[in-house]
Amino acid sequence: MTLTRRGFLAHSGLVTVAAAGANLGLDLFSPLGEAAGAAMLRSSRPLPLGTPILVLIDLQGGNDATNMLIDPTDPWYYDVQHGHGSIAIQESAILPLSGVSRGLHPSMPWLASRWASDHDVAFVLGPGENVVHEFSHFAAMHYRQVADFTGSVGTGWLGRFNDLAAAGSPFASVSISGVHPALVGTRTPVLTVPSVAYFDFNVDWQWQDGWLHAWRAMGGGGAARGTMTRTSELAIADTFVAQSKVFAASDSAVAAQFDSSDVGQQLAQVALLVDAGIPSQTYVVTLGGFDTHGDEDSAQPALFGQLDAALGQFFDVVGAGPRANDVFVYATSEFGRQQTANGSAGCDHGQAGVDIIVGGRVRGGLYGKAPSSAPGARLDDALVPTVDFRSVYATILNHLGRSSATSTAVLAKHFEDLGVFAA
Amino acid sequence: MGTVTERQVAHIWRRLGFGPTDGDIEHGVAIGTKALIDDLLHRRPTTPAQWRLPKLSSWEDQAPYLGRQLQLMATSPNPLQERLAWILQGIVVVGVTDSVAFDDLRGHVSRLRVNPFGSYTRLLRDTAVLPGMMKYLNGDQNTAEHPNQNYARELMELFSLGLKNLVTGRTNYTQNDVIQVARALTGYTLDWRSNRIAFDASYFDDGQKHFFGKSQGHAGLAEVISAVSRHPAYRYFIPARLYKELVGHAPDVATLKALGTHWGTSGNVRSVVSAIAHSPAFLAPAAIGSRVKSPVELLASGARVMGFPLGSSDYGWQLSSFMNQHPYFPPNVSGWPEGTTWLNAGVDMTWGGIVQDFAAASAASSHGIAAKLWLSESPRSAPMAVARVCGITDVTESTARALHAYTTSGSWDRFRAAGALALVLVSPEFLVN
Repeated sequence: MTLTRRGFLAHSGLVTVAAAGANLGLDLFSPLGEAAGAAMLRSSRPLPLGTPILVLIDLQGGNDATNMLIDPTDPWYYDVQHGHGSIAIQESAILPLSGVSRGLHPSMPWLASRWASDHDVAFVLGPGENVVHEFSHFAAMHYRQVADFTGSVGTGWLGRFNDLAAAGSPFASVSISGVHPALVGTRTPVLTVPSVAYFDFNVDWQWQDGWLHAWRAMGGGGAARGTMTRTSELAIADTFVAQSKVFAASDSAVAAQFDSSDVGQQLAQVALLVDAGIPSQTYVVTLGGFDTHGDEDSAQPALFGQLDAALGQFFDVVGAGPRANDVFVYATSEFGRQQTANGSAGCDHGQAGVDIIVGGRVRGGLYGKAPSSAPGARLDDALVPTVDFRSVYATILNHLGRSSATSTAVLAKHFEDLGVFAA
Repeated sequence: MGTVTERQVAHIWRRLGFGPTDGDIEHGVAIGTKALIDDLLHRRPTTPAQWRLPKLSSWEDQAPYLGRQLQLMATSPNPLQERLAWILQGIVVVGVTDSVAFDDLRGHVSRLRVNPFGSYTRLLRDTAVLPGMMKYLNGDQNTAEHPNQNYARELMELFSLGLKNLVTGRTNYTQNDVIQVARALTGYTLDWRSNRIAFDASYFDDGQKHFFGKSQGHAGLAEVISAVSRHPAYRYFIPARLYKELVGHAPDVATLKALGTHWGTSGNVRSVVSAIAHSPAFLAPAAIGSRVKSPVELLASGARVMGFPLGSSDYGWQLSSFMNQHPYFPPNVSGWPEGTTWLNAGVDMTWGGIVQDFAAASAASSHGIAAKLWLSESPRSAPMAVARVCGITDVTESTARALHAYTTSGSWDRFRAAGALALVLVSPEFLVN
């Protein structure tokens, strides 16, 4: 579904959009001519220092958060009949978190250390949705990407934010692993950067004279509006606008500080772009493999280990730069998993999970409320969510927009701000 | 500007195959669109002996196997078989994982390829107990004592029914149905030494099951597949997907109901594809150029045009790391995204590099398409001729001007002709399908 700007405003609610626009310094109702707008919006100046920058890590497959942020005092956790039983983490192996009864999976030592040292690690307990209690990966992912349950919104929540905050900017929505649907807006393209170092044109010397110039000219807008060919032209034009600035961010010494894991390499690209001052407040990376119906005892240590190591390397690099206090990571998944291990050394699809928010201006601690794990309180063996995931989004959006009206404009409804970020 | 018929012929080749190559448009115009569609629908399926797919048992085998599969997409005498096999690979999804070996994937993909025109219901039954699917969705771990819901859920959600009936809007199954179907699918175990699947009654839940609103007795796999095929949503879900793949947009309700009749409980792929291809909507202006080529489609189509030997090449790295569409590593069990998500900088720039290889190979040959164009065209006539060779019947003014500027600057030789071919392959017109 494609929305026009007018349609977007209607969906968002005019009054709240106007309020957010004022706070964002945008005049959303001035008729931006395409040429004038393009000139303004294609600005590639770095974001002012102090501008919050989100790095969303999408843990795809449904993260078994019960085994990530572990409560060994939960009487059901070790239960063989109704709990994680054989896949539960031994209490002696759990990494303690000072001041709380919960601890981390043993493959997450960096996060545990960061909790104690920087006090900027937040865990949101019980995020999920109580609208449809979706158990399907793809429906659940869709709901989280669009942050809507009416079926009438086709844009992503971060795409809508950028449509307000940086409409038309070819740099605002950065996705490292393909186009992430959460970034899809109506006016702001998604810039995919699989590798900064390879973000260069490669033309055979035998015919290179004039070749790139001709390719760029093909993105000049000759096709009729509304056609797929026109969309294709725009993608070419955006590629050329972004290329040189992205490629200039390449730094092999920085990239070498990251593991070769997929998530490590993705976060390496983000670190390079952040350090280079690419004007984006929203980066998205993905880490798949969390659909642990089986063999979780081997899959999960690898996944958490890769994530934890990559986070450490990422904050090492970003922390040494000028935006150490701006960048934060939000790691989330489409749902948690069932509480009873299924006999395949895994567990099936669940509901409530745990979100991680770490980094710049995050006030460390536990947020939300842990769902009851008692078998009788579960929904098809899943934990019933206690925090609407859109409240987490609202918290992040209000921080990104530096206005409490931002989330209402993007989500078309008020959701509680959890107060994770310091002013 | 091409004629209406030329445009339609090129479209038929793009949707029922991987695009036209030199001479296909002229031939299609000569015999007419209906005859061309019938020709493509009724070509004899190629056999595994003809595929000459190399072994696929280790990481090192991946490149030659992938190259050969892409080569078949580009050059098979039965393009529609290749197109449908590729569509099915994006619907009945299996990927290589820690537990799914390359050889398991080979078995799965071979089953999809051998007769993609046949009974989809039979295909579901067959793939359910092949090692690829069994391992990918934990079927081998689904036992009476410890049921695993993974395959049961995706069988219904992704492979057969969808969440909601596309005609009535009703929810197709409940969470309890998933649990019950998972119980019915127990009993199949994997012998790790022989890598064979066998039914072992001691692992089968022989109890009474109740799903789709009624008692299903002591149902097992055969009964599950049978019940799924008789579910009211079965006749719409995959036909709607095929329609969208081939036409480019969703069918209306009347069309979907008609397709459902063709589909029936057997899942008659050929009948549905024939009905779609012969429908006015298939050749309507709204369908032409309404899709975007995915990275795999770009490779197959581009190599077909350029006569490039994909079989001896390795683009696995580019497909997986930069373009996000390696055929053996789907992002998840729902397959790959579609539509405008492929129009992005990562794909554009990577494709822009790959076409250099295609053009260089052509330029290096005195019999290649680049040499042929160089000898037969002038710098001024070349742009339209190059576009035509690439199966493009209509170009925008901006593309025409850009090509003209390129071919008329510098000396006109087969290298510049090769460069012009590479330019057409990255043009907005070629990126769409």
